[in-house]
Amino acid sequence: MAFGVRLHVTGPRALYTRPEMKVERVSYDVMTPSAARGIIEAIHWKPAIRWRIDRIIVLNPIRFETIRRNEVGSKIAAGVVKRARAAGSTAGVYTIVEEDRQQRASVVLRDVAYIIEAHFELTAAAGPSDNEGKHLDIFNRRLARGQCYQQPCLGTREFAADFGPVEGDPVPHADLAGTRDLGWMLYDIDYAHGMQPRFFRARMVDGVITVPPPQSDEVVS
Amino acid sequence: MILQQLSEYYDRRIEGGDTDLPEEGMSEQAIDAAVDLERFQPGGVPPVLLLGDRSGKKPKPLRMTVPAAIKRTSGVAANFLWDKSAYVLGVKRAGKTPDAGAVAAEKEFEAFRQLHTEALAGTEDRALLKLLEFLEDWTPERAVAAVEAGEIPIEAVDGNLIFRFGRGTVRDLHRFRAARAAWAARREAVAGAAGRCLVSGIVAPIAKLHPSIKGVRGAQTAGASLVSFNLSAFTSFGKEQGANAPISERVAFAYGAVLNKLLAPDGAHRVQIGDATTVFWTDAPNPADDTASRVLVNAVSPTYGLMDEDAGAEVDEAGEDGTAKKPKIDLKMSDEEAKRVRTALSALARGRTMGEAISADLHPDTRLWVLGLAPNAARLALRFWYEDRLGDAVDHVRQHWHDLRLDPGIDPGRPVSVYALLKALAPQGKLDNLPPKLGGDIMRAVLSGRPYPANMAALALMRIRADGEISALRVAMLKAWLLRRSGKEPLEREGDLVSLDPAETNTGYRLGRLFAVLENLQRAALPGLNATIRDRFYGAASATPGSIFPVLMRGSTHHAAKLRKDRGGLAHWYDTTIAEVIDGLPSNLPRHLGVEDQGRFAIGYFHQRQAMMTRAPAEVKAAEAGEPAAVGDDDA
Repeated sequence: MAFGVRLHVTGPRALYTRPEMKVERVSYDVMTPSAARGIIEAIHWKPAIRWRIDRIIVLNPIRFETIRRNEVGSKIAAGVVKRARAAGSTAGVYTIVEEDRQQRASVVLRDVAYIIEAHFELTAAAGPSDNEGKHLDIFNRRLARGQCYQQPCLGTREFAADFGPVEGDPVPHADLAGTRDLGWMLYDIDYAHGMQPRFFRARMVDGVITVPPPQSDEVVS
Repeated sequence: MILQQLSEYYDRRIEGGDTDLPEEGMSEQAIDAAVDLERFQPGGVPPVLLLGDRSGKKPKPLRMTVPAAIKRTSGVAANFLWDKSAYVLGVKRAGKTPDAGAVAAEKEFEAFRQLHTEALAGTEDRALLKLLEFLEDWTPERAVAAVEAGEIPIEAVDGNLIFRFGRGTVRDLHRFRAARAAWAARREAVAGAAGRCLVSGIVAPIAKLHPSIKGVRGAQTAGASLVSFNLSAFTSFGKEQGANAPISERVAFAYGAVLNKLLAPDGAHRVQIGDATTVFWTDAPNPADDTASRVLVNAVSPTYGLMDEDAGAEVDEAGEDGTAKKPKIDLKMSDEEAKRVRTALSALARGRTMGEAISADLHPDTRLWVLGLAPNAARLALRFWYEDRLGDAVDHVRQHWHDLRLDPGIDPGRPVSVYALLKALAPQGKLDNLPPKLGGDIMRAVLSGRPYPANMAALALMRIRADGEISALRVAMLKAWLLRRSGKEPLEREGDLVSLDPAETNTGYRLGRLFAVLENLQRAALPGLNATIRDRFYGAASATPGSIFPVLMRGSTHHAAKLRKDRGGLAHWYDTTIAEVIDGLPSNLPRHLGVEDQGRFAIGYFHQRQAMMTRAPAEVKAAEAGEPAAVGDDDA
């Protein structure tokens, strides 16, 4: 934990889509570790470091809201793109939104606030100029200034996250007291092995979710 | 979350001795007829017996558990040991009309034959061999001929058929041990690849397609899926179908079976709220769970509570003799049951707990789940999901009834259903005209005790302006909406806005009262008028009082002048009342009122009107008798 960081993340809405309910989207009750990783990586990431989420602290009571929107139903096929590349022309690479409408419902979280605790490790890509102190300083400086490479989001891109250093000592809302079993939750995607999803049994104790390290037995794929 | 709770509920029910739920690999289907294999001779036609109740106008097929239906999205796929006549016999109707002739269904029959020759290859069971013999020998052409000759009843065509075999006690073929073994082997053979189930966490065969859920209103009749990936935009990382969300076949089956059971039209667990088909269940033991669900379903459904705007018309006693006008509902209860539910609800409204009012098995700590589903073509969307202690949920529902309290008009001892509220908000009284999410949003507020949705008040105001009905229900909704937004604790807000409050100085409220008095004055002065100031000015007066009230006041002096000529005492009473109401108003009337103040306007109007209806005559008489002084302190 020597190189740990803490950040405070809030937003009016959030959507941590459950894989089984991702068509008519339904959110998990709380932020998933991979969503937390996404926020941190939006602030500072280099191939030399790898972020690990340690704890997610939920501050606000868990509340839901329903949204219905128009979206599109199909992706542009990989073959079409390949052909376009081979031909050197983008002719035919398009989606006509009006002809491909899909109305989808989303059950999203309202008024969320979290504290993310994480640390990083140096990877094999770290060169002689990389050291922990340097990356820690970069991260904290960027966090304090509100800098990011892309706007971090709360689960999905349309729900932007406000982030900043943790000020004072925020405590979880009284509604969150007690132990709550949140069921099997997506831990992250194992991109190295066939984009295999990995799950862990999420448990929230007084608003705090302790995220197991990726190598632990608690994380299964 | 949802899937986990549903599959656990399935296990609880099975362990609790529920025999109605299908076992794994089976599903309940409506069966129209049975093919008697015992009496089949090669080259002949087997007898086809119609099943179920055929005495009524509309035949009721027999419901029975048969090997689980295959999911036919498109194309041809046969079920095991049962199917539609097109598959079993190779005959179907040419069109959809009842008198359309029978035609051969070769492709379907061939699929059925192939499935069975494949799955039953090497069987030594006499009954199954007979089935193979039948399938080998039979042709769709003969089926058509047999239907035309009347050897196969026309009612069986397009219905579901099963097979029977045996002399004496004729048995259903799919129940034979050998048939069950063959079905189990078949399922194993086609099982998907193993993977980690994200609901149960164990490694098991993963379901490729999820069960169809039937009974959600507005969804396709064949059923819709809660979990599906039916377009390319819904998949990710190149995964296909069920692999996008690895769920074991066992869990998929369990949640499907129990959800279909909960959604069954005659079940105790289901209610329609707006466009959301909602089911309730608890973790109480079997019979108590049914009862609790039935009571909660009725707390929000139309079978109980205020049905119409005329608050006094339908009272409890009307229901006791069973002749009260029964609303159209999809919940079938005997009169005795209805009475029990009504008693239980009244007891709850008066502050008893579920355990006291209904069954000792219902502790306040019993968990309650509520799931609202809405259709979206072939898919189901979650409208709301709620999980709580039963005791808390009951408290919240009771709180909702108390927040609606209006005196006179709405009494928490005779609870109002959510359905009645929605009906009062809907143009033409048709729930289809409401915004789709509203029912679910109100339900969520009722069950969780949180503020009501913002559009509830906006809609009530809009309806009041549109049709001029300032009904008790609409006003009660505005009142409850304001109370919950005020952030006051339930005990603090207990008496707020329940009946006329002469001390309330909110401008909207005062203006509402003033408007009611002015309207009444006009009625008194000009009896028999077709359109009063309410019909012409209510909307404008509540939205832009600054420009309307001066006009109204000018008119009222004429009304008062006319009244003074023949009923001096009454005119005086109006003068003092108007003066008393105006007293609390600012000298500059606001140019317009916001939603909250418009709500208070409606409440003030309603209170003042009700107060004048119940109280004015006696006081007016007193005034006419020449004792104007008694009128001033009218709330003594």
